[in-house]
Amino acid sequence: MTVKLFDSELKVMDTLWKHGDLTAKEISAILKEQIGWNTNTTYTVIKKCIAKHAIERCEPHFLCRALIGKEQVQAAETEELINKVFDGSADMLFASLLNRKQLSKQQIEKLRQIVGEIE
Amino acid sequence: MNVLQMSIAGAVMIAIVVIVRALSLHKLPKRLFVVLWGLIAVRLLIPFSIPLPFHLSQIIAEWWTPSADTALSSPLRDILVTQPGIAAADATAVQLTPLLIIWGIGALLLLVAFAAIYWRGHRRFRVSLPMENRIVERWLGKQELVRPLAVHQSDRIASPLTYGFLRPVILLPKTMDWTNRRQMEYVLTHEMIHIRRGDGLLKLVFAAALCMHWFNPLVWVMFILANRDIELACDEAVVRTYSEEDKSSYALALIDMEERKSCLTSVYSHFSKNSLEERITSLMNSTIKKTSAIFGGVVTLALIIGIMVFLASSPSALNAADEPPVSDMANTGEVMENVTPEQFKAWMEEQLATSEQLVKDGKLSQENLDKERQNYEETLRLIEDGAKVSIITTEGGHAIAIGSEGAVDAWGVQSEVDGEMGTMSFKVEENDDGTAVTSIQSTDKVDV
Repeated sequence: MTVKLFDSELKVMDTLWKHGDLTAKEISAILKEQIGWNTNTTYTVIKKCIAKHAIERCEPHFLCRALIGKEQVQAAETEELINKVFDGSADMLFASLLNRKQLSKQQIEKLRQIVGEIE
Repeated sequence: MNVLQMSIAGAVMIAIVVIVRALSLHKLPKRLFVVLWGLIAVRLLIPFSIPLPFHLSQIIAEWWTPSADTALSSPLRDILVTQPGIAAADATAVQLTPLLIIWGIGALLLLVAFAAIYWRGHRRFRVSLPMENRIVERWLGKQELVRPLAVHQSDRIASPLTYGFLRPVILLPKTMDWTNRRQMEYVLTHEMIHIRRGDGLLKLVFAAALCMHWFNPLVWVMFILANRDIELACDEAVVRTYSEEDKSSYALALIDMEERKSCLTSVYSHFSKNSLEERITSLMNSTIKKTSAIFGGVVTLALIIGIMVFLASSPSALNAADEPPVSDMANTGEVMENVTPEQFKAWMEEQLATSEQLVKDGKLSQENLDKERQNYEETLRLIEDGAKVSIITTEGGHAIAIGSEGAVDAWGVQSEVDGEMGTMSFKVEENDDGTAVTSIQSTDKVDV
């Protein structure tokens, strides 16, 4: 993903990731209920997403389809975080997370699993 | 009153306030300055004037245009001193001089620039997301405001701000420390005070004044200082809500949130802005003791009275300081005193044009028109020789008073009598014992 998505755009993407493909009207309704954006605002953000190639517009009724997945965005954001804050060192990020000592038993178990899969 | 007059009056007032502010900003309550700037803005925006017997602005006008004889100064003089005699006809018709066009373009450009800034801001702010934060929610619960208040977050701003009048929203940047309860409360309280005081609207007023008076550098100074003082007054109020000991932590919060932004951020109430230093100093020095408070009160009163007087006074052409009032009739009309040859010529042409029309309508004889022209030319010669001539225009007609060194030597009166123009001319002669004798020199269609 080349272009960064702002919070407002991520919110729209989130709605699509949760509910699958939706028409612009439906997205507006959901967001109006959730965060109080008026229709024009939502449409503007959707158009921005389309310009950034995050959403594809399909013609019956302005149907919106997400072109990127949540994992993609998460991976990109993590990459950016590692580069910006941890000088490109993923170990540092990992160590920092562990140091916070907030991992529950289930989380540790899951991590063990992932490490196991990589090996 | 026209824009230039208002601008000059405003400039003088701004200069005074700037000096006072430079000398004693930290000894006086900052709200005082906001009030003063507000009064000046009113003067700059609303073209009212109450003629008073004395008027500082006319003194300035005369100081600016020292010699009334130079033809160069008279167009400026015409702008500075309203002349009902000649200017009456033009008063309603706005002349499209090149100066007016330039002013109009400048004002329009600035208006468009402000509108663009507001619009851009509005677009960025409306996509903000609501906050879910316990500190915020608890704080919100304690607030009482008639209008619905909301707190949002945005990843596109760098420092907290407030927007919206009917539905105010406090916008917090994502980069803030959400867990620092004290800092959060300071920020929220600060923005709340802006909302309560309607500072957003006030900033609009200053922006409007700037658009109208863009050519006046002092108004730019006022714009910058007024916005700063709004922030200072807000800081003052926040610190008053909390104890004096919290001042240092508030100051630290300001430093912590400092953001270097170079674009015009004076349009929205930003939490920390340029002149952070001024704010910190103001905060740390804000031990306003009783004596300073009294001093502040007295200065406030003096400044407000002074400014109101200046606000009200206007260059009034009803200034009879030089010429003694010649008769009751003179004081009921409009006076043009000490007319320059150019002014008299212009007035004369007007009168002759009217009279020529009357000749065509049969109300005036050609002979009398010629006599009138003769009189005017004679008067013109006298003016060129240095006599002081005043023209008094009344409802019925006008009178020309010719004097030298304060006394009136001769009079001419022309007025409409029963639909016909009658003229009378007098001569005033001084006897040796100092008394004056008025003798009628000629009359026409007037019974004496």
